[in-house]
Amino acid sequence: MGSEPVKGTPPEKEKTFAEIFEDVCPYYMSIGMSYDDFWNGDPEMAKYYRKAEKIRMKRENRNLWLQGLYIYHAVGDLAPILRFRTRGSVKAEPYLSEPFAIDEEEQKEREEKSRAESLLRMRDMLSELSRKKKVGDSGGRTDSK
Amino acid sequence: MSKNITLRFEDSEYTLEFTRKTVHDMESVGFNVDDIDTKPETCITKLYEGAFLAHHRTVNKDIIWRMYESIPKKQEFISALYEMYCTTLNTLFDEPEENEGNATWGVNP
Repeated sequence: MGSEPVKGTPPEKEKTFAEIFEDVCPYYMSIGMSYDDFWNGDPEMAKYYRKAEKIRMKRENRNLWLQGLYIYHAVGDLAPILRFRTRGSVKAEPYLSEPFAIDEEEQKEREEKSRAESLLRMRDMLSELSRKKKVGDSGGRTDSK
Repeated sequence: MSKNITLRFEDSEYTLEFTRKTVHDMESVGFNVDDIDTKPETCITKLYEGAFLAHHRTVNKDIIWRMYESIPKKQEFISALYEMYCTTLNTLFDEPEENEGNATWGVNP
């Protein structure tokens, strides 16, 4: 037997509060908490920094998704001219004229604006038709003074 | 906001609180909160004294201990100090979400 070394890893010593604080301090500083706030501030602050970080990650994730969507649309618009042996007359679609609506409120505003523009166009068309009909009825004659 | 204790004694007001820095300082001179079961008297002494470090580091120990003698409901007071001490660590980690297959518990009357 002799004095053989014990095999296997020794049990991990439980960390003290101070050791854990030193381990996690860099993480909290990386998410915006100051050194002073971490060590000397209200301990509850850490909870709110974590929640804020989750919100920030969600927002960044959504921004990246939106960026991907713009790139996807842009490549789609360019697709006609990216094909091998395209004819000279083929043109790319124009890039989006405005950003995507990012919430329901903006979507509703755009739909209302589009509806209002359609109504205006119809009204103009009807006025034009009515004018042409009047000219046609009068035989094309106009009174001169 | 985390909890703190306000003590009024001899026309003075004292705020007892733990920060991570004061907990770090207490541990660096040998304090171990786990000793509360095995060495309660020593642990309570150091826990109580440590609660003054955040805002009243220079207060005379004689005053601190005369104050302690006059504190009513000592057990509740020490429990509150213990909870405040542990908050410095507990606030660094999220509580498990409810209904995630975790154990449940309740206090029996």
